[in-house]
Amino acid sequence: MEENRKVDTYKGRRIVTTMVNGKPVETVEGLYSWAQVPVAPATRGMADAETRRRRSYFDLSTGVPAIGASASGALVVNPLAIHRGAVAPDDPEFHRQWGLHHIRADEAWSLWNGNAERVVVAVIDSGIPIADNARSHPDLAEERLIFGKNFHSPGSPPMDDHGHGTHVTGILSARRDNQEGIAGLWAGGRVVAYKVFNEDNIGTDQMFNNAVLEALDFAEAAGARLVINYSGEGPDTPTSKATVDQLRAEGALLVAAAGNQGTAGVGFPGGYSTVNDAVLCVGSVNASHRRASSSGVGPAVSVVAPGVDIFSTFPNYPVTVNAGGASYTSMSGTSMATPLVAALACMIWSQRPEFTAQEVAQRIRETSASLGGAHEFGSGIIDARAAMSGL
Amino acid sequence: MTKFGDHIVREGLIKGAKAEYLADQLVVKLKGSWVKDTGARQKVMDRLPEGTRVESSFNRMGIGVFRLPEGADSLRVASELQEQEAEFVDYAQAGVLHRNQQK
Repeated sequence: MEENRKVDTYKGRRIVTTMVNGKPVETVEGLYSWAQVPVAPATRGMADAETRRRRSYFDLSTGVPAIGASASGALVVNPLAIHRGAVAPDDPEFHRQWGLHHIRADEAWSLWNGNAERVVVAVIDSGIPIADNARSHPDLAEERLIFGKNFHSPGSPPMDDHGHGTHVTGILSARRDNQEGIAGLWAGGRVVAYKVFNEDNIGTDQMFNNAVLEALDFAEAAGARLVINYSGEGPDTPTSKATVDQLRAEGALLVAAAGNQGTAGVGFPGGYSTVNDAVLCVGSVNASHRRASSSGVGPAVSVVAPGVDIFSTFPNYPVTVNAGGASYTSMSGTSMATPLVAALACMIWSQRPEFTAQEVAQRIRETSASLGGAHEFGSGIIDARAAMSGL
Repeated sequence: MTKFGDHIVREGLIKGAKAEYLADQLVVKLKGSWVKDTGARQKVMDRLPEGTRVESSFNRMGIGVFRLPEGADSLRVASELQEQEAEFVDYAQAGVLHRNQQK
């Protein structure tokens, strides 16, 4: 049975109907959002330089929050709107996360009532934002983000010096409802960051192997199910193959990118989905649900997810692809689609811990919405609400 | 010459596909029954070119990583080792690069 949790209050306040632009809109009584839109675009060396925008919320009873004297530009104030059936998170950039809207994330959140401690997700990538041995990004600062091994600098924390890993981790698990930045799809459980990609975003199949073994050991010690998020791609090698065989034998699920070689095919380890049912291979679509031109195609593609112009966290210090150190940016690729699928796997598994990895993968595939050719889209675009309904 | 850290990177064919591999890194997996057999481990290491160093010892999957001396080529060494020590060696391969490619 599909049933949304009924919400009559939000943060202790009544939900009321307000006329906005002549239309009735459900809003939170006494709460307003404000957005300050500077006139000048940021010049931070970003490929997609964009107007910086600061948005937050205030309580009418306490007045409009102070706005910095140096701020310039328009101030827009609106009643804080509610999505009926699901409460939109108060993360001010949530409206920019089109991918979450397209997979019906907010409805899925309202259906989730699992135990986040049952699942660990390993992000095997270029690391997370760390400065002075501490988490440095306000949206990735929770203690549930755990430092895994750094395979480039043994003994050091997995500091992201490229930017890719931070972006992926934000999509997957940025803190939700913290009135800061964005919302991660899986904002509850433990995330272990392993650094296998260096400042040039390059690693090896042997590092992949070592990181997977580390993650398996961590999950076993934690008594939790393990989801592995991996965006790297390389050739078909015995070590990559043996690694995914091992994680399957130990009950884990690998969510891997299809890679960005377009019609040239799918890279590995994602390509092993044709021979290993503990592997979900993820392609990328744009906001029109068309395949991103670079998204790998072939029989290995299991599902697709939003992966074009995805807004997420970025190291708040200078890194390889952004010398300016912006805290958020947009990126594209199957790397950006993959964490949405990994996060959904965490939501499912934390609610149904008796599921096998294969059953989690099957749940994601069978609740996806078909988009056409399986070589391009696999079972279709993931639908978080459908996946969580009736669980 | 392309480098990955202090490793030498070359291009070659792996399973018929073009790949970037580490010319000085050899990855060896022992067959299951020999994973914990120190004699088998030593026999495999004795077959490697003089000057080879252990980069990481055999893990619980039986995979060990070796740093080959200057001038060696891991594709050729892997092929020879697999042929010579077929009794113990599940496979031997060059270390290969994985890339994240976002836009």
